[in-house]
Amino acid sequence: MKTAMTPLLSVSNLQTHFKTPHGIVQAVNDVSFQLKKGEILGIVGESGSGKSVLAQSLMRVVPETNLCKASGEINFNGIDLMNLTPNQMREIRGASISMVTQNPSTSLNPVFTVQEQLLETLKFHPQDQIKNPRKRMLQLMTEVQLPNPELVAKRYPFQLSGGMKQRIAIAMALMCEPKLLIADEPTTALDVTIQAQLLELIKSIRNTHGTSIIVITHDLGVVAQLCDTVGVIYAGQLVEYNTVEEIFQNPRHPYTKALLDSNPVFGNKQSSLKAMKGQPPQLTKLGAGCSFADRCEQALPLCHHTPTDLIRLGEFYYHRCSVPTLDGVANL
Amino acid sequence: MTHRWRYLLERLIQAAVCVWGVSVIIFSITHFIGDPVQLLMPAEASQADRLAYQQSLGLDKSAFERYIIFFTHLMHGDLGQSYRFNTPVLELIWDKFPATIELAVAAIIFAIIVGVGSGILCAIRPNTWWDHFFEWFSLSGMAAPTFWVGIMLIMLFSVELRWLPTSGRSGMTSLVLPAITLGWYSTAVISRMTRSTLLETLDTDFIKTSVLKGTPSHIIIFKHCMKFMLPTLLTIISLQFVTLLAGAVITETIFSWPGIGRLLIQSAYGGDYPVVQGITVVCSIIFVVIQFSVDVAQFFLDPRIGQRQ
Amino acid sequence: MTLKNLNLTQLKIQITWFVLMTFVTLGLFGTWLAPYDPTHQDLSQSLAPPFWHSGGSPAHLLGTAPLGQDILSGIMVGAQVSLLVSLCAVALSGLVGVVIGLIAGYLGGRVDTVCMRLADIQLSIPFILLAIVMIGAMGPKLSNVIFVIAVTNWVTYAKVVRTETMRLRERDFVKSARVSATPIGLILFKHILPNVINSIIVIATLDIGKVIIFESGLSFLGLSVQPPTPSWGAMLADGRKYISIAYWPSMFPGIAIFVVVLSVNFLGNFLRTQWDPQSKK
Repeated sequence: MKTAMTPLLSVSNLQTHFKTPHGIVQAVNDVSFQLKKGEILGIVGESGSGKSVLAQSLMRVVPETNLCKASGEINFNGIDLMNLTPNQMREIRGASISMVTQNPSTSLNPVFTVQEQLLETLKFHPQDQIKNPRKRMLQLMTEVQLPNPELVAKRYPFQLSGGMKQRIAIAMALMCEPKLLIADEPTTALDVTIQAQLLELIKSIRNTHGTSIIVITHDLGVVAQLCDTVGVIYAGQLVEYNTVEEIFQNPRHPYTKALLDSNPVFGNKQSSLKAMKGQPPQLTKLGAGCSFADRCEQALPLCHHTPTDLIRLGEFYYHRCSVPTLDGVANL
Repeated sequence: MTHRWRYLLERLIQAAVCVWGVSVIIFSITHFIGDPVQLLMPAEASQADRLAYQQSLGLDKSAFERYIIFFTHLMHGDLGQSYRFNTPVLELIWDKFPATIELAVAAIIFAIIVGVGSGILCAIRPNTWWDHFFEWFSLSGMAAPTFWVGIMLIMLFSVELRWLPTSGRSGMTSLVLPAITLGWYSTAVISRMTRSTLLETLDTDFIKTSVLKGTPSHIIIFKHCMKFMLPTLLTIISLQFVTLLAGAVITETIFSWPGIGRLLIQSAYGGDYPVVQGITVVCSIIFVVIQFSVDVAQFFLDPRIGQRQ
Repeated sequence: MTLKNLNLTQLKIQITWFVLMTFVTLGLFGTWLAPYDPTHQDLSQSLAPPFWHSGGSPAHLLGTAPLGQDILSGIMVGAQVSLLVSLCAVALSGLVGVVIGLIAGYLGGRVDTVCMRLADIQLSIPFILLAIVMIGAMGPKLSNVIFVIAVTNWVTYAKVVRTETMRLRERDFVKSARVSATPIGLILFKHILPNVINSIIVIATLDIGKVIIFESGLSFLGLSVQPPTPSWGAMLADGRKYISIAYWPSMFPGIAIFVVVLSVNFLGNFLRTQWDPQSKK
């Protein structure tokens, strides 16, 4: 659903590096993407690929210990978030950009009631258009399909199930009508049945409020259900970034292809699961070359030490590869 | 929700058992380890007096019966008679108690303000100059015996600088040194524990959520963290308060502070055993009451306590 | 930054080691190593200051006490009492506590409840009060002091060992021992005890410091070893009356206590960080 042409969020060359005793970890290594109003972007990757650090970098809540580089541009609604003071950034968090994390059982404060925690958000970021915080809270609680909102509001988190807690987290994130919602593995810790419900909920939020959403996940099924655009992340880089149709029907990058292949398809008689050979690379030992080269079936000798080319596929989309392909033009 | 109150009832029963247990222990010490007549009667007492006292204590009866007599007296508030002052022990204790309370409260206030304050400071700036300084300070505080700290403080502030009086209870200035001496150790403990608890709390997922919500830092620390930490801190502080009341013995001796501690020592030196026994019983019962009160407070602060999970 | 930290830690370790070695040596051989007999009174030398003040002399490095006793010798011989009491009392209370903890943790149920109530009751009576009552009833002697501390200090050991035992009781290696009809004592001793021994040692080390302070507190109050046997606490008490004119009789014994306890605590914390991977700084 592309309602406006100017992107809401434009991330360029984002880098987040950490210094560890074993070397420098390039957790986010030159990531760029765009997000329009009302668009749902999925960031797919394995654990350790840097997806959570990417989310933290966007919110600028990266832990400061060992942080040695945080550069790039995060252009949100015309403002570069990287240039903001801590206080200015704090005003944006929870109000214009909010985030839902992956641990519903531990992400709510156990000694405050649900309503205290929900109403707080509006207390810190009063919105002119929201005159009645309590009414808004109950409205949102209904929208996220919480049964009996009045009663639930007075409860403490430990009295609620995982699914309900995640819904509350989502409601909390929506209290101030943010323009962007980041959901970091929102359904990973939940039952499959609840997962499906929550994914539908996320979609309906976009439809009702027009909120742009970034969903971070390792599950291609989630991506297929929800997303308009997809960024495939590997070893801190977006190795492929395209619309969801293109990613699934015409994957370019070998890693994307391997990911899709390794997903068993119901009905397909496969004798064995097609697994990817090798292991994800150690982020301290990345060379100059392509980080996927060791596991890539179409790798050429030059792939191991030459930096990958950014091959443009359309106005915003791209993938990274040193092997010439049939379509796309190498970015020189 | 009613089943939650069962927890309080259980705690109350435990407290009662403790009080009973204390009485048994003190009774045993007096009657079995020592010679009760010799201990509880002044040295000059005549043989006839001793015999009469023996009877009143029921020493001719079985141990169990003796205990019943002891316990009954206890429940009536009869802790015996001090023969130095020739007054009932309970009256003496009641008379000296306020001074000790004043000292203990001043000490714990000092310990809370400095301890919690420095703990928070160290936790929000870990591994900085401040943090290392307070770490050393706390470790030293825990290694320095109270009586030495008191004497050193007197030497510095009373003898050398002449800012504060050396002893006695005479208004606010005389409270300063004893309170700091008494509270010194507790300050160190509270500081370390506040720091480590706060560091742990800052690392939790829900505090990370608070940050993601754009909460101002002072609210994160003083509202979100503090309310979560309150039960833990309360336990630590109450344990320290208990330690304080005991440490008052030494502090009051050094500063000639007219409280129960000094009474205890004077009685111990003067062979006034009933007072010694009485103070021990009373203080122990007070501790049990304090512990129980803290349990009750925790119960109301933390909604998870007492839940059958 | 890391290099500096490393050097500081090494320095701390070396100083601790030096202090503890000195303490143990003095505790064992103090009587022979001391330059003077600390009980020897020489009124002509009453309250002589340490050698770096005018009026002081190298004969009495740290000065003399009110009755002319040499302070340095007093400190050296006084170490005996501190070492003896702390080691014996900690060993005894540790023994009692560990046994109770093992039994309570392993058997559970009523036995456990009784033990825990006992612990609660013990904790309700502040140590110093109980000590005064007991010593008041038994008389001030070294053996009584050790007994009193041993009998009151067992609770920490019992609680820690009990928690660990309850945790280990459900582990497979213990269960298989039970199934094969191994006697309880053997299970406790051979299977469970080795796993808790590290925690016990950490607690015991920290306890030594605590007991040294307890004992010196009691001797400060005159309830421990009686004069003429020298003890650090008693030296402090002696010097107290004269603090307006002489700081050394009270300050140096106090420094001795402080330095030894600090080192012992440092050792205990060091052991804890070595053995408990979870304890962060």
